[in-house]
Amino acid sequence: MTAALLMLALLSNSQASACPGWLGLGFRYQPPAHGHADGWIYVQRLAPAGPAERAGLLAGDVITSIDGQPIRYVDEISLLQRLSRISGGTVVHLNIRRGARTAAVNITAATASKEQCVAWRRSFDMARAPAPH
Amino acid sequence: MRGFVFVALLASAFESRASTDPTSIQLFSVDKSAQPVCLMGRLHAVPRCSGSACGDVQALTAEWTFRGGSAEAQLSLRPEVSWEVSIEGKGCWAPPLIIAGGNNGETRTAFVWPAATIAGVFTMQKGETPPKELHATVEADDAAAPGAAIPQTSLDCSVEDTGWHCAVPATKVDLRFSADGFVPRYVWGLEVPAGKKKTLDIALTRGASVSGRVALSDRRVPLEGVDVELRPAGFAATPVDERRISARSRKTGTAVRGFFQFPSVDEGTYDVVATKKGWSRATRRVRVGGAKESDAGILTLPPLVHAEVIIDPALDTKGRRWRVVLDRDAVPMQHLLPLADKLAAVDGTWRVEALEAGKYRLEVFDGGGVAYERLIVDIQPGEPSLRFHMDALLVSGVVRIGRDPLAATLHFLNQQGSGDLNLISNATGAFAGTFPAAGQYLVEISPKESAQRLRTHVEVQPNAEGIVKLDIELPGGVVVGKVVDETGNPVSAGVQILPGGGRQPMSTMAAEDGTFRLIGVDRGDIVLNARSLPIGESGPVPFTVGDGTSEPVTLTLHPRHEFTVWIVSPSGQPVAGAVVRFNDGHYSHEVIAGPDGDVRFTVARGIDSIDVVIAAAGFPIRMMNLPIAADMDPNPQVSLGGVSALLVAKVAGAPPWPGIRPMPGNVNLHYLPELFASPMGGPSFPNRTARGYEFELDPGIYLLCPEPHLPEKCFQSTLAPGTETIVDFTSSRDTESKK
Repeated sequence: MTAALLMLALLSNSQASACPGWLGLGFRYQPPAHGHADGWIYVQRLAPAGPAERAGLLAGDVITSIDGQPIRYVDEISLLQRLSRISGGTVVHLNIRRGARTAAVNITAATASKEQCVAWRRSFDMARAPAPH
Repeated sequence: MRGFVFVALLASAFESRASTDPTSIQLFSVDKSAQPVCLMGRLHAVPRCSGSACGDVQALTAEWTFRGGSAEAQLSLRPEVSWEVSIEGKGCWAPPLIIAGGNNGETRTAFVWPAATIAGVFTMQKGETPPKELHATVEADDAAAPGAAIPQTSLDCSVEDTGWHCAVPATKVDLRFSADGFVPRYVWGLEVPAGKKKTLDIALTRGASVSGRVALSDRRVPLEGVDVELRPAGFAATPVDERRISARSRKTGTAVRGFFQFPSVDEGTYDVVATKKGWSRATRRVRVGGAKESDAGILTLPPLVHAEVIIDPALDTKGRRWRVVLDRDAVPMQHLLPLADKLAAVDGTWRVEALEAGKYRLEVFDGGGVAYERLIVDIQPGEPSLRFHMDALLVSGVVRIGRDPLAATLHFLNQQGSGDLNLISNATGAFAGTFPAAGQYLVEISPKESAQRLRTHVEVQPNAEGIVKLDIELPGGVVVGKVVDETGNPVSAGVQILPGGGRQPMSTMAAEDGTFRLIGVDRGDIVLNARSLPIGESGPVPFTVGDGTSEPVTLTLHPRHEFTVWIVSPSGQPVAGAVVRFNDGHYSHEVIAGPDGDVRFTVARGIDSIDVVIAAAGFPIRMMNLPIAADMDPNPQVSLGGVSALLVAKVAGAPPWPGIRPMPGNVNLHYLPELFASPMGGPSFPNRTARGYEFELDPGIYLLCPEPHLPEKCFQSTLAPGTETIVDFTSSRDTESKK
């Protein structure tokens, strides 16, 4: 699993200057490995009253697909680039596993505020930074 | 005789009633308009007592009418109780008058405002049930009429379905609306004309909130436009911690009257920090629990301060000026210059201006860089100068490893007081210097010819002549060897003497040719481990150290043992997202179960079991020992339990943390934080509630240890399915209660 990443806002158009839609969740990404064809996203935290929390996502959920597509990104940056295409107002369909149960969650991305843009840029920088040894 | 007693009591009651002089209530109209809406009304006085405490005291009423903007009415208020007097009238509003017991014929005044109405609907999330009651309070300053400020007063409000309305005074008012379970709402400076109605919809959201006010210390004036930050309380030791705390922090500014509010706040402990340029910051810690409002109170910004230091003697032992460094009392998140770093004047004084009031780290060095003082100071307005008297001890000695002198850099750190200095020993092991104080020092020794660091403790005490002779003897054991991979090729790997058996860990790095040398090792049994991230580990290798240099030992790196454990529910469904912590006897790790409940373990060969803690939402925490062997089940499965037992641990919130382990079995003691379900990098202490730290555990018998290093204090507790056990580790004698 890659380094912990706080992700309050998501990438947009691979340009750090533009802001993506805001989902309000922080996660760790596990790329496909150890015989698994698919990767998965572990939800670490949720912004209070943010879009993900309002949609019913919980910390500890494991996201297994985004908009019906399995998660097969080679690393966190690649995943962020996929998520960067989500703009404010877009509905994102997630399949999740919560403990022993499965569920579907639809999150309506919000328009990111200035503070959320700053938080996203920080997350982007952290994701790009080399992992600590 | 009985008839006499009755007559006496009657007389007493009559005397009491006869002595009551009427209380005069003078009313003044705030409404100076030509056609005031509030003209007359009545006073309704209710005794503030209940049942037998009231005796025969009855409620009273009196009429009043404004003439020329004032009115007077009289009430015969019995002095043995206190009274609440409502001032009522069509088109009128006034806060109730409270008249304390003991009143007898006094005159009270009150202001009466023309009334207005506010009304509206609740707006809520879809599916939300509107509240049955609305609590509202009003407050106003005395801008309407000198002396006519309205203290915080409850309003009469009615609620019907999603609609509500309240009567308010027709002046500029501040309002607070609250409904059970919803975040309170505030409206500032609302003004409704007399007799009119203003529509005001109240948006209700569920959850907790934090509110408060900010004022300046000199004027106690509520302040608009102050930056206020709500930060999760937590110790930020690294930049990542700081980023984590900052990312969860929220900012706002103060509104009129210095008010601030953070709605929808998660349960937890927070620091509210108010900052304004030119003033010191003010911080208040608040706890948020349940869907309630936490009041941070008034945060008062103190003025900026100065720090002044006076050092005696004015110069150090060699006639040099002292150097004083002042820095923030916080772990530096990045390399920041200290706030002040300059030499004291030749008279020993040192001063710095325009500091925020608060705690700082202050250090005083002699001209050679030896720290004579290192302390935390709390600098507040009006504090006297900080005075230091500096003593100095001449210290000389020799450092030896076994029987051989050691050339090294010696870092001395006083464990009891001031003293932090570096000295260098020469080829004969000799060193000398000036120490600021006697006491027990930790010495970190960096040998000239080795990358290894050694540690020991020494006692610095002067002899009768005031001189300190300090000889440092290090163990003479030397472990030499070579690190190779499975094909025999040398590897530059980390080599460590593992902790345990009373030994502190020691480590060094093998050279390119795989050779290593660990010096200063006590004789006896040790466990070695070599580790290279890409190649693997030797696993624990027992070794016996004698005097002098041991026979060379070869540490062979093997690929680590990798296997997958599948975590399932009682019905066999995979449990995704479980936080799994395990300890291989030397190191702790954390992994997360994937969508199939799969957890990948990587451990060094030679480790025959690992201690595992599995925390998954909705399942009791499992603590277990997992045996590891070459012929082990390649797909071991762990089935989590169904029914849990709740343990509520009241702890101080800081180390030493209590320890816990299930009994019977061979699971080692775990510190409570290892049971926290939150993954590293996740929110801190999610198990913390107003009651303590709460854990849903597998039912069974557990050993609980208030201080894990004191096994004699451990005790057993049976956690039965579906029950709640509260253990108070904060009391001097640990107590337990069950439900």
